[in-house]
Amino acid sequence: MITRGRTPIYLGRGLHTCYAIFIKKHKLPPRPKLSIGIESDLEEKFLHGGRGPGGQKINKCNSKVQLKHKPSGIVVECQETRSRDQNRKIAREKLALQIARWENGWKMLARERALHEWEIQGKRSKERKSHDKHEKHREERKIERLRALEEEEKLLQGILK
Amino acid sequence: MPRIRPSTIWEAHRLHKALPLLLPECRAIPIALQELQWIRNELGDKKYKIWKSCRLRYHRYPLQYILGTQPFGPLEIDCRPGVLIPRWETEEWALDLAHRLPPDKNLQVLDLCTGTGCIPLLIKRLRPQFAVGAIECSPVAVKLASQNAEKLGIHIDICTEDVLKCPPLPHKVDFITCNPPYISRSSFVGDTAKSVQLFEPKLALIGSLEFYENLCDFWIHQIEAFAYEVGTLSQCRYVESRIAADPALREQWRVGTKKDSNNKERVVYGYKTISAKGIDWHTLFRGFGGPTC
Repeated sequence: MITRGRTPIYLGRGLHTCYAIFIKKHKLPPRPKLSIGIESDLEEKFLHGGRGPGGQKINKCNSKVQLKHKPSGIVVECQETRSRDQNRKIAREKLALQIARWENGWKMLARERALHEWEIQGKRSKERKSHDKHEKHREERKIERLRALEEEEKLLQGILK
Repeated sequence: MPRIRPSTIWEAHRLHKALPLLLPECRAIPIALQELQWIRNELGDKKYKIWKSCRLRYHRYPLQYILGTQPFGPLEIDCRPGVLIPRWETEEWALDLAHRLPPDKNLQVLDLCTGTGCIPLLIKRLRPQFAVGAIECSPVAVKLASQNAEKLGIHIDICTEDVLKCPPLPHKVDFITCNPPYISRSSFVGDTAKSVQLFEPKLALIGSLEFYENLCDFWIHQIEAFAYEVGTLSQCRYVESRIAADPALREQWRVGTKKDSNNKERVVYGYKTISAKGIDWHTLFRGFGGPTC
């Protein structure tokens, strides 16, 4: 039982020491940003639910922003907030992430990998903690049993004498 | 308008007990969920508050009056019953226009029928060295506009006057913006959303040509350029024909129309070809709109 519980953990520790030590939540690689000259490659559309007279006649609260990056054909949309300004900002953040992925050949980005690693690290440390706790308890129980045995033996010897 | 299917109502009920109340106004579950999220974000997670706002929404009370604000460009404008809620169309053209105005000149801008004060506040925020004024006839709106100016820390002069009575101006004005009431009485009944009909002030909604007539009769002689929001093409045509009919004005003025991103005529604008202030209005308005067609 002990060997089965231990080996993968030690193996894991041994393999990933470099990650496990270095990744910290506040020191991740930065979020991808849109480069300054890219604005000319973007096509921005504001969708407000199409038909109808508009103007003072309707009172729409949602504003959807659709952003297209022409060279790659990536389209992102955003309507999370009521403010068009805010939606535009969020759409640009989303697009920056997608473009970075696209430039990376749809592989995981350094930040994403780090985040993933960070999550695994957290899980592993939790596992380790619980493992150590159980180990400690087992030790204690063993000692307790040994002591009980000794006492019994003493008692037996006393009776035999 | 198609009815809401009972299955949709049940599905909404499964997601959140108050969600069916939002359906008559939102029509679809994703939009209703979004609205619920906004209500939660801005009013907190108190159950009775959510239920109260959803019940108001069921009676078609505007969301902006419930939440108390409406984003307008970079600004957060306070809204209150009795004052027209700023529309996204207005936001669109006002932002475009404000970015076109020359930041280094000292322009005198005046906004008529200002309501919440959204347009002058936006212009003053983006072009701080302009002198920006506003005129409004409703005392409730004047109070709200001053409150908005104070909250945002932007200084504009607001006075209570009736635009149609041609009030005397304290100083010269170069540029006028205006979002006048432009819904005709007949389309107000048939074509206008219920929530607007029931809860927004008719004073700020119903009108036909009186403000455009007033522009051509009075204001145009005191200014160098104007931008008026419109509801229909006929209002643009009216302004154009009035300017074309006057030989003196025809010489000096150019008129155009801007469409909104829904491809509806939204703004009629005009400018003098020769500016006393040395502003090249022609290049300023290039790409803003096009000739009326």
